[in-house]
Amino acid sequence: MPHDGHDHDHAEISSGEKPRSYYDIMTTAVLELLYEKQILKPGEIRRQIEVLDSRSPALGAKVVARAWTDPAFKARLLANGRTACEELGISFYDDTQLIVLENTAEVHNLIVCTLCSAIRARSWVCRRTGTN
Amino acid sequence: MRYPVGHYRVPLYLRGKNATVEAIIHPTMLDNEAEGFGRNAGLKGFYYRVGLPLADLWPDYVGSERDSLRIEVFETWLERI
Repeated sequence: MPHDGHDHDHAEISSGEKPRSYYDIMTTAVLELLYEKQILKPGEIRRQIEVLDSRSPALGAKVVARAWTDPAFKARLLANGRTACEELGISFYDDTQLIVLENTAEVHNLIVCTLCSAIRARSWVCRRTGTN
Repeated sequence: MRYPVGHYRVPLYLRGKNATVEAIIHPTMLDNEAEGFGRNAGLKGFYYRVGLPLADLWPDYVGSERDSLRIEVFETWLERI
């Protein structure tokens, strides 16, 4: 059908691909720069994604269940969350430290994200339900 | 009170508030804000755990007066009072 000032019909002119979003293009550009400058290798990105994907809330449940049944483990967990989790074969990377808080009959801890997903600092709301 | 332009890791609701230091977090950690802007790479410092009542943060808070917040704040954001 004639359109836009010309007299013949033709298929829509496009690259045949969905247009890429701004952030999609930016991500690819940053990745290519990292590879080009040899800061990262393509395999490292894939490996890290696999590490992240292998984590699940079941790991945390395993740690808590162990603390319920093993008082010595619980003491070590409260003293140093990272090394206690490593005892159960849960690995950490970078210098991530894990602080474990115990709910009691009188204190309930509610962990909240303070800002964004990348934050290192933690915060929590503490509700004292007892009489003191 | 500081409201610098850019990405900073202290919640706005906390700035300028008085709180009590409850713990110093070991070991020292990277200064993420400086690191994020490419300054003083590798500089480390302490996070301090501070606590304050929720009612001090939210004047219209209707929950228990025993409810409180604990938060770990990098040393560059703290001032002795």
